[in-house]
Amino acid sequence: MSALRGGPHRLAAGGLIERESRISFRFDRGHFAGHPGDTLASALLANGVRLVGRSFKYHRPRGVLSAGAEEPNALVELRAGDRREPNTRATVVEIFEGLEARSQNRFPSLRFDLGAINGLLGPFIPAGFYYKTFMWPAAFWERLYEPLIRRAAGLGRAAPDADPDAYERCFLFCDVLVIGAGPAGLMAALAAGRAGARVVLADEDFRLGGRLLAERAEIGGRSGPAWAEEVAGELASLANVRLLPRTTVFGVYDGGTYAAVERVADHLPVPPPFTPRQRLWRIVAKRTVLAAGAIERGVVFPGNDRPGVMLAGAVRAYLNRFAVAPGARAVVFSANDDAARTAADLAACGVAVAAVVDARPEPPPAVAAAAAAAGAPLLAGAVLTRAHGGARLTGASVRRADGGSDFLGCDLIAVSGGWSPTIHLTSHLGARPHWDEARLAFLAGEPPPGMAVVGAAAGRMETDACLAQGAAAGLAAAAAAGFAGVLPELPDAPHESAGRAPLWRVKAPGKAFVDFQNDVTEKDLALANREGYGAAEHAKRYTTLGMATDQGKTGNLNGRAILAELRGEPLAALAPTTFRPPYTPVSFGALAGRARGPAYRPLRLTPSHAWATEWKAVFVESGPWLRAAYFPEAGEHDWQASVTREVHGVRRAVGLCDVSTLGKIDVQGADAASFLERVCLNRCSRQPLGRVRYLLMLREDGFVLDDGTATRLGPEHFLLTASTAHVAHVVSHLEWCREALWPELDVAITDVTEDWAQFAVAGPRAREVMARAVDPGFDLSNDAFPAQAAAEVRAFGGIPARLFRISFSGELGYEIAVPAGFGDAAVRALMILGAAQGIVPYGLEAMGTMRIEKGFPAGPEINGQTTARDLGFAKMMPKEGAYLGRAMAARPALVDPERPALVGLRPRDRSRRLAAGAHFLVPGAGASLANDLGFVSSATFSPTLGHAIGLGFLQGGLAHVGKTMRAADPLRGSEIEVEICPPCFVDPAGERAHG
Amino acid sequence: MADPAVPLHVPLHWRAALGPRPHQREGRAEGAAGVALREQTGFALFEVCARPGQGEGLAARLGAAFGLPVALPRTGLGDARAALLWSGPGRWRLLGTPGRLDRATLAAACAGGGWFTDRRGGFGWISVSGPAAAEALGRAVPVDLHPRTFGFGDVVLTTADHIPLQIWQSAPAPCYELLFPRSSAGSFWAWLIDQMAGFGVAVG
Amino acid sequence: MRIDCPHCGPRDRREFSYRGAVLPLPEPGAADEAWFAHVYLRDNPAGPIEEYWQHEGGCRAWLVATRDTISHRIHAVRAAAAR
Repeated sequence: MSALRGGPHRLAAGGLIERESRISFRFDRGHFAGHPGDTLASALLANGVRLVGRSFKYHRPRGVLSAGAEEPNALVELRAGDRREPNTRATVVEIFEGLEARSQNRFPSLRFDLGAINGLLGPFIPAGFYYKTFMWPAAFWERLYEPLIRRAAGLGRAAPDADPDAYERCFLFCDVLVIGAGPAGLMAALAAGRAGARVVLADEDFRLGGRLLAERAEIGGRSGPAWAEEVAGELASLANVRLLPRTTVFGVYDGGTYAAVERVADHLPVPPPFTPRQRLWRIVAKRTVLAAGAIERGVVFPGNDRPGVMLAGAVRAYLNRFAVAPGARAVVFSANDDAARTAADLAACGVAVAAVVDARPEPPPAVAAAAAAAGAPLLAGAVLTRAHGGARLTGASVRRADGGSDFLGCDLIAVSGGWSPTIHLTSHLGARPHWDEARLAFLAGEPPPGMAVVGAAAGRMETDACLAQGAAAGLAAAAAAGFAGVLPELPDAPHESAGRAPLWRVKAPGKAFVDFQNDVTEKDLALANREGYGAAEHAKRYTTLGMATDQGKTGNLNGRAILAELRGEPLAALAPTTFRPPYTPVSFGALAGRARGPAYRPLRLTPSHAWATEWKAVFVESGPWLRAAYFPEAGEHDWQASVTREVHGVRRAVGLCDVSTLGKIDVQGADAASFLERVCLNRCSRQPLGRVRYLLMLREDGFVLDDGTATRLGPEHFLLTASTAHVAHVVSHLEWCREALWPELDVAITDVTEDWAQFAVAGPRAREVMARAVDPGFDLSNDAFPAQAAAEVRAFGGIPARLFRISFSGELGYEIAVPAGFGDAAVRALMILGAAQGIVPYGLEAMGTMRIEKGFPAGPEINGQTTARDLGFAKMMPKEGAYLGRAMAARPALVDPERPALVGLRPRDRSRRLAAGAHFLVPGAGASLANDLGFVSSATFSPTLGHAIGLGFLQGGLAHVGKTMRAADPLRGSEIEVEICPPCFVDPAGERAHG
Repeated sequence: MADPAVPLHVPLHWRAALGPRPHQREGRAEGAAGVALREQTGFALFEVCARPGQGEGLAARLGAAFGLPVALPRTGLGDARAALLWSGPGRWRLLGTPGRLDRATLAAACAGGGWFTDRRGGFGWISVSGPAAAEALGRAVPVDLHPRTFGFGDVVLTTADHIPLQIWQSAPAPCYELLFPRSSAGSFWAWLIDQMAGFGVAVG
Repeated sequence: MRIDCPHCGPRDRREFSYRGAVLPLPEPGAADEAWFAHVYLRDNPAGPIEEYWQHEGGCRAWLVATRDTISHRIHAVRAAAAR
């Protein structure tokens, strides 16, 4: 029956809900109904559901405390399957048709939770108990304690599978960012928007209006919500204003940067097509107005966590905004003038008020009048000493001013300890708030540059003050951004009474909670102080006060005040612990955006990629590139078979490999040669035109930065290559040298890696293939175009190309480069042109095998810890001339002949395999660092030789040729005897490449 | 020498950075498309780098040689067939139809003032237009493309999700040209479609 | 963090890559100690420091930024090539 009416506790009239529509939803085993405009919390309360969860440690029954994002108790698990979300605050969930929610942290059910036994264990599990327990016996930790703790820990269950929704990350630039769309924020946006500035107005709620939606205040002769709707309508009509409801600005960063998360589709069963579930906005604002309001806090008294104890402001929100009576008989408890408002609103909605308990000995007349009008006694100078009940509140004990006590039967206690301005964002950049005794609040310290704090966030609770401050700040912000405007007319608004007295806690026997979500009690704070952890930062971490997902929004100040009292220090001295982003929890999905799976980072494809895919190449990620590792043929079941075939193909006939990823750097200028001589070992000024030279570049510390080639295409034109992995770094390094060290040199550096498709054609029959590719008229004979020659030619029928005789395989080899748009066609053409020669496509694996067979150093040898000497290139280091790295390369330790130098190795037992990373030991010596002589850097199976080979660095280097060493690999549990040899296994004289 | 007996399709086919792509709708299908994307291909592109201290003079000579407005920093103007785009301190990209931009004229304009290299293979080029182009692209890139700060003739160099990107506005109405590295074309296109899918994309 | 590139205007820090402190190269023929200090030793001031950043995700210019290590504020940015 309740499902048909939207709840038995729904008021007959009022509220900002759409009564004509009904939404059905589930909570645990119950089916309920609510209305559009309801939150899950308001709909549950309308249906009489008071018990919504069990607390973290003691498994105490808990109900809804608040009506906003500060909620610590009503954490539910929302949705099912791969969209399941734990720890969602029911107070901010907009219900939708078919919503499924479940309570958390209880077994087997919310009403009968076995975990409640923890409540009895209370004396044994105070704050910090885990620092002193579970230590003995030590063996029990892994087998017993840890698994138990793991099962008991945590508050919700994450979804089992990948999130099926999409998330977006977007950028936004504006002149004025207004955070919060309550009275102050709306006026600020209006002033700035009318002045013509680009305004962004963000509010975490789904409806603009802030506190106006929860109170009965009249603005300009109409209801608060109606006025807010009118302003929102005008703002929506301005093209220069962007409204972002359902958007929480959660972080402030340097440079006027803000982060916000927009819950685009959280209120829908599934996101519509091509709509993200949530959107992360990175906002850059010239000026900001923080109108984030204030958050109410409760009072610490025994039983204050019982379902039915709610914040007074939340009670008013449920009455006025959601037309829900959170109880039938209420007690109002506070030490500020909100007591009057609360009593009045309760009475107006037909809720009986059992008493108004005001801790102040002499509350203002307005409170007495409101109590009287509600037909309730006013107990001045009195406090509640206990809230009674288990899963439901049954009553409250009062201690009167004269010391006597009463019992008040009630099912709702509306508590107000006061309001704390929402200043979290102001201290994200490190500024500390300061205590304002008059307002009993911490106010913002120095706000981030460009931010103004207004309204309740600045400690001004009166509606007329909020409107005025907001308008002024909005106008000033627009003016600072260059837009002159006019102050909007301020509508009539109430100036609410704001009398207040401090009321942090009531001293009485019983468990009194300070932090609801982490179950931190008043006694825990006393314990922390006794044990020497009473300073604010220590107490927070020792008791976990304020460390839950609500970040202590409703309890931190009470905790701080209790600590101050325990330590005899003024509250002002205990500044709040640092606020850090995010202000409220942000999903990983929103932070990741589309950067998941294959879209995590961009992939770079070679010009021959489409063709390689057709040839069923197996690809491997090589940095950001996807490169063909090998091209398996039908019937080849493991990669070694394919690689062996490819190597044979190259060494016996001719092979084709895409080498486009190797970095190409265009260096031109009158000073190009002298620039290059300053940054590398090559004497470029003496390099003839049309010649390729092996290139080595050193770092400032004397180690090798990278190797590559330098080709002289003209007197003032060089083309460098660099290894795929290092080219980005090499280009930046060269640009730095040019701009920071020698800006007077005439040299232009351009990374042209992308511009050219480059293919290696290598093998004894390579010349035959190239003769068909290159246009007639170019002499390819060995005399005319010998090893290490280079030329600009025409190929494939008139296409401008560059031809190089470079050989990474050690065979007769060419590399031909064409503009990258021709790359796909060129690779197909080469396959056709080489068909008669039996041309074989080969990939990274075969290329790597062949270069090890030739002893050419690559990434594993040029690892940043080796010098030119170590690699066997000492002769390349010029005696004259200044080049980067020269001085440090001459350090005694780097020229020590005992430094490990490059050698080759092969297993004595030719059937064994070698692994890179094994370390060299003298036979008979123990495996220790003291006996370590070096390590194996590269290893492979050589199809050409039929056994494993490797390269490595060995102390004493080539002096050990012929000797036997042990290659020990304790990580993989192997030890092999190896024979040291020169680091070239195939054609040591290099005749094939020079043929 | 080349064997005429072997059949080979010449001249070789030039492959656009995005490769063959069907003309279709992407993203939201209902209603008119908010964004239109079109790949430009077969264009000539030279990158020019000025000698120290010669930047202004070289820019003026390039403009004069090809009948294009001088490209001040962060500007790029041209017509449908050629554009001169500022591409960094002392750097410009000359972009357009091959007939309009010939090497010889360029070499003459650069003589003594700067150095150039042919970069036509290195890039992809997409034109973005449509009623939602400004909003869709503005959200997607980390620079402010609002008409008050970016308009006809402005050029920016930035990144799109780790991919280098050059953007210029080629018409008074919001109509943007995007230049990006060829090898990242696939990832770039995926990013672009994802960002704009909600607005409805017509691929032409 | 935003860095004001003299060529491109203020941009998000993610467009830049960081190299390290600005230190003049030792003179040719300088003693080993000078090189050792240049490569390995750094001051760690609590206050403004001059650093090399490259606008790698933008115009690729090398810049010298004066950044305050306490407040994280960037006081000045100039092109490295402009002495």
